[in-house]
Amino acid sequence: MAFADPEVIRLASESFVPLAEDCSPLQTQQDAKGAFFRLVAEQGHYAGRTVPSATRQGQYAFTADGTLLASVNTRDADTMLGMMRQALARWGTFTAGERGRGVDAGAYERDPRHPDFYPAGGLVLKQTMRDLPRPEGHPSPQQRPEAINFDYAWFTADEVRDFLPEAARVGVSRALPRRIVRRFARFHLLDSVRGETPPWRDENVQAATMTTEVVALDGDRVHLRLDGSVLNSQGGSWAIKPFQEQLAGMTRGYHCRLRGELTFDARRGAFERFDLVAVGDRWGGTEHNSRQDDLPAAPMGLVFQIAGGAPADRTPPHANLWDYFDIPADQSPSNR
Amino acid sequence: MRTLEPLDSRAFEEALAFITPRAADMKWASIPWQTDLWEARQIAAARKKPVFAWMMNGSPLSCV
Repeated sequence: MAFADPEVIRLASESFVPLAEDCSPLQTQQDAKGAFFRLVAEQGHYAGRTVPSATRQGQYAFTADGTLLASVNTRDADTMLGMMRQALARWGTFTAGERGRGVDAGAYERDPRHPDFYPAGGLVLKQTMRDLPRPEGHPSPQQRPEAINFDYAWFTADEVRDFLPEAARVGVSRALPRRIVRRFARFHLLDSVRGETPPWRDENVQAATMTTEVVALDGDRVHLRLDGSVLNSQGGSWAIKPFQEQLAGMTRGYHCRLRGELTFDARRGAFERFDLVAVGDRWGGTEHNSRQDDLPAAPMGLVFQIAGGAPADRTPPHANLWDYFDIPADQSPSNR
Repeated sequence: MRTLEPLDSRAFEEALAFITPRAADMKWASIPWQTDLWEARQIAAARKKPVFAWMMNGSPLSCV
């Protein structure tokens, strides 16, 4: 991965303002931010492209007023370094006045289809997923043990209380409500270890339970154990390689047990520990998750932990957030 | 479909330790990424630096 290269890290950190963002909404978003992205992207490597897709993903170096310096779409460190150096060489020809030129520092009116869903005062978890060791003789030996991926899980301030039994008394338990279980099952218990995969639909969640139980009390702190199990599976026709034809008789799934150790600070009204583990077998592949040669069931694990406070930890969950928060269709601007 | 055994405390701790990212997994995270294009261009103007943007369909810092 190019962003593990020391020189890429140094240049990105010291010579630029580094930015990482989902460009999917920005490609069509009808507000000043979307327009600015399109201004930059239409000077770049995919300008005007519509086939095989209209994606504008890649790496872009540009000025604050939207002048492109260089762009590329690569995972190769040397290619990326070439692009970064080209951009800096061009930047070096700019005068001091040009370098601070023109930025609209004010707020802008957001496209109502893309509100800021960040759950201030709620619970933000960082999710890590990777394959677990496979037993000797497994029909699909592990080819990419280093593969790892991440996501974020968001719960609003109201939803934080959904994790807590009504009484803070040892032995009292609570079956978590559908909105919490649904969110974990459909949008997080997925095989994205090697690349993104579509979320499950409601009908793909064959079974899902999650329960918390108070296991200890310590002043204002409530210690909880979370137990659960989820079975997701889907059958149908879809591609298992990017931009290839759909194949009939495909299946995919994830069957896992969950266990969590949580500590809720009742005085602050916030979790100070949230370590949740999912362990089980995944199977099948989808168009972009690079499992075409690794379809048999094999163990995969996920961990959810409280996210930090860096800007990167405000990254939204990889999902359509209207669906993620189960907002009725008639309340979505795109459906009005 | 078989029923899975509950994870005991040892299995939980082992899985937590194995899955939690290690330093080698997180080199890319040492870059001080901004995550909002609008804010990044404002910071760039104030610092008189260009923006280096990693833009993907799906957040580059999560499931891609």
